[in-house]
Amino acid sequence: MKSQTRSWQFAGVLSLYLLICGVPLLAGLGYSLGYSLGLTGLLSQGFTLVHWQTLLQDTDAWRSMGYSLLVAAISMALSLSLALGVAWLHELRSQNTLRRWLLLPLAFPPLVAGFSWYYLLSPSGFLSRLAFHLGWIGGIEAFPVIVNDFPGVGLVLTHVFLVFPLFALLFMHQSAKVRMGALWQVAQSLGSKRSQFLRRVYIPLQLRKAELLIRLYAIFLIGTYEVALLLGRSSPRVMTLYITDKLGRFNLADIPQGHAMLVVYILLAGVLAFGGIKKYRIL
Amino acid sequence: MMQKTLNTLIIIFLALPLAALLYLSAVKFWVYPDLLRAHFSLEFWSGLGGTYSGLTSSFALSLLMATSISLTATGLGFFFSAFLLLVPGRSTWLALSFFPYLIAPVSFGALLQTYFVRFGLSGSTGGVWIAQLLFVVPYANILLSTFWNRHIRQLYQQAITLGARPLQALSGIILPLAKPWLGLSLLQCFLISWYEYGITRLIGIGKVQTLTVGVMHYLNEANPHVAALAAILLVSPVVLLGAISYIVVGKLSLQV
Amino acid sequence: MKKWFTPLFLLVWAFSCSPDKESATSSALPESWEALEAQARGTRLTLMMWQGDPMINRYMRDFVVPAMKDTFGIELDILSGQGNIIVSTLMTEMEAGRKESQIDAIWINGETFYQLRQIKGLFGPFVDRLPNSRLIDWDNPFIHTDFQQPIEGYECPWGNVQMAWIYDSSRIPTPPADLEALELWLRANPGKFTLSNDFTGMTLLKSWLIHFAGGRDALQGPFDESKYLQSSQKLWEFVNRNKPYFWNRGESFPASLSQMHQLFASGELWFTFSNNDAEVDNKVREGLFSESSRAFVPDYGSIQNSHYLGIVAQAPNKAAAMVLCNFLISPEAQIAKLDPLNWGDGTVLSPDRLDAPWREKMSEVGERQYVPPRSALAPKALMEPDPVYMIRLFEDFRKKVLSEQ
Repeated sequence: MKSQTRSWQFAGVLSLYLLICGVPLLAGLGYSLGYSLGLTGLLSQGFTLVHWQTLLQDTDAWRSMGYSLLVAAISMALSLSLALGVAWLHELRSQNTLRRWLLLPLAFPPLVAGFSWYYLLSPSGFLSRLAFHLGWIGGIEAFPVIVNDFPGVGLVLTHVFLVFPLFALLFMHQSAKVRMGALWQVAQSLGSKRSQFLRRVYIPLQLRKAELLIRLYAIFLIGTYEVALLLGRSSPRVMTLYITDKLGRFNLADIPQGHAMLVVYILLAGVLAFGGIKKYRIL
Repeated sequence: MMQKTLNTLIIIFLALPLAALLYLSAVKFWVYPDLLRAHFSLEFWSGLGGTYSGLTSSFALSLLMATSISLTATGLGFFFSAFLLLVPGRSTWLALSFFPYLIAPVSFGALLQTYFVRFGLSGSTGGVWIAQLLFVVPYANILLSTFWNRHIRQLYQQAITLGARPLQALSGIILPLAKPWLGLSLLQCFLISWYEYGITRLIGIGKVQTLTVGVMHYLNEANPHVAALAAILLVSPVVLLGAISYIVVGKLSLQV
Repeated sequence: MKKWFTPLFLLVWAFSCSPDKESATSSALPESWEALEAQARGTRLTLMMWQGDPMINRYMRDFVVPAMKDTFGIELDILSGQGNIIVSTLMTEMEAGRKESQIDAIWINGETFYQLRQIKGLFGPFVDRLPNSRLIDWDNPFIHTDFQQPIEGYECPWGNVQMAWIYDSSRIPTPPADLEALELWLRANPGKFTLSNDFTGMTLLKSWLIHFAGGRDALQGPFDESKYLQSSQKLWEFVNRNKPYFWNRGESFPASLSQMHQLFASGELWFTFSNNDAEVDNKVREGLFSESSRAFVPDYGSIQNSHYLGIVAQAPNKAAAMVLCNFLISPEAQIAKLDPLNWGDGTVLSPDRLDAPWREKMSEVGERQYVPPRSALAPKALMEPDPVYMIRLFEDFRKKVLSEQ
């Protein structure tokens, strides 16, 4: 009797867990899939693969996916390099002031970070005005365009601002935990050069320990929305903007295509998060 | 010397956005190349009591929402993380919790929207609260799952073997140990909700005016000065909270 | 555990796709207007509208909301959302089978009207029932026809405006009057001109499209594929030829009009646009644009159109929505809106149909300072072409201009 109650309780809690952490996403995914296949939607006319075919043939869609991946990869690479560097310097000599400042960007939601960096970097923004007063440039035209630009300088810089401090703090913490300083001293006494140590021990150790978080943040950056909205370019645009444009723009016939892209995006995030990994440390 | 310069440069990089916001909120008619000599004015700040009083109520709403979400999500997240220890195939179940957080909120909102409309939850504060919770609880669950390492699990088992009831073991042994994790989870969940824009916009259809929705409203109005003011309101409590929790975070293993 | 996933997924999907559509509710509206006003009294009403302009927001907040409350006992809530958000919100509601919408009334224009008629999202015909509708200038084709579509009582005219170019006269003494002059100007002043990748930008492109199609009446009538292909080819040639002289070398375009205005205010752009010919007055008064800002319409013309109020098919409070529409087209509300100190939006009422005191009041409304009078712009007004032109322009602008770097 008691064990029966127990198993009911067990099933109840498991259902509640699923209801909160599983069902909403799966239900949404199912809806988008259904929409993209013409199974639901106000203007749907029954099952069809035509929206998927259109999406597969839409170079704009693939460019936007490639662009999102590229921007995320570059932002991540820069953030990690900077964070590794800062944490290494901290290891050599403690930087407590810097450590405190590193917490500041954690107070910035992406929307606000995008807004401030836009006003810092745009041709009529703060840095351009400063350069003008310092006599470095003659006017707006002379200031390089680094917002809404193709290489996405402003976009990447804002991402670095948002992501790098977190990794710097993490690497500092990891360093302390494995006694990186002591390791370095041992290596030194064994005749290892600094570059060797950094390449063979410091960097691989740091990155491996942070692998999960690196993956998560990379996926985060692929899903960038607010920052790209303010600092990105109209073409190619990042994936989330492609999706929102298709879901809510002027051509109602495009909506199923937006849902198809949404499905692609979620699958991509899943593959990137779990692909090639048997088990995360915490799982 | 080089290190000092580098440090200074990084600190400038980190501080610039906040400085830009403060400046923008205290200036008007901001024509190029005005910088040090500009039309400085505190009119936007004094407007907080009148013209922009909407921002003050948005501030209160965001604060209420983020606090309640953070408490609920941390509670549920801790409960689930403990419960999942009993479930066979734990990692597969836990993997489910990764998804909501991996997907951009605006996309997550787009996925949920139809159901919220169907159940009559869109356009209401309650609806937005639930939608945010669906996003935050999985995160808290993941974060708090990192607490249950082998050592903790053994300790718990030991207590049970020695005759403690599960609840006793939990409140007497586990909870005190989990304090820093719970603190971090409270802080992080608060921040996620406090920053949230995409879901709130879609599920709240503009009826639920949180502070992020307010910031976007003024951005769309072509008024960067009021938008900057709103942005400062958005950032300031977190800066304060960060300063307070600095000690907590400093001590805490950031191994999420 | 993995075997759970497939059935769970299928279950969820089946649930999500179940047809649940129900026809619109038609809670009976009383016959007489007095009874309708009485039914609306003491209720709440939700209006969704574009809120991208502080002057418009102020007019709604300080004039309309209090008047609705004091005169009609209606609590008016205003939500922010322009055309595409309105359509996607209503579509989602209809797809989810909601019997009652979250929204009662909406502010729309041609392309949203077209989309909402496609999905049967509008209530009507209702305009004839509004007592004040007899004051509307129904002879004006810019009012009774919206993007070549007869309005048929499904939307109520609210305001009438013409697109204008805004420039800084201290920098540009004589703005380019035609496309040839613009081309020369661009070469002499690279980086100072662009258009936004939104409704306003597309409205500018429409006026150019009409020009390349042969001018004025060339695109009248329903969408014509061959006409579009011919004229748009010339249009894209023109844009791409000049793109290198656009702002940011034409590599990107501002996403919204508000961004254009900010770039103009800071001096980065020397032109911005407005769908409302009187907006320049507002922006100068707001302290955003300098006092040397002026507005003009080039010789080949600019689009004039009306914007409208619609009532959602599933609106829970249609009675109050009708009271709101009727109030917004009252002489009192229209004159207040016409005043450049408030909004500066053109009226849809015909002065001839007004009682003498109102007619007098209307003629007394303050002059616009920075833009020629409406009567001077009107001869250059172009009709909105069929909405499909707009949809195609949006798509092709992305394909043929944005992607061609």
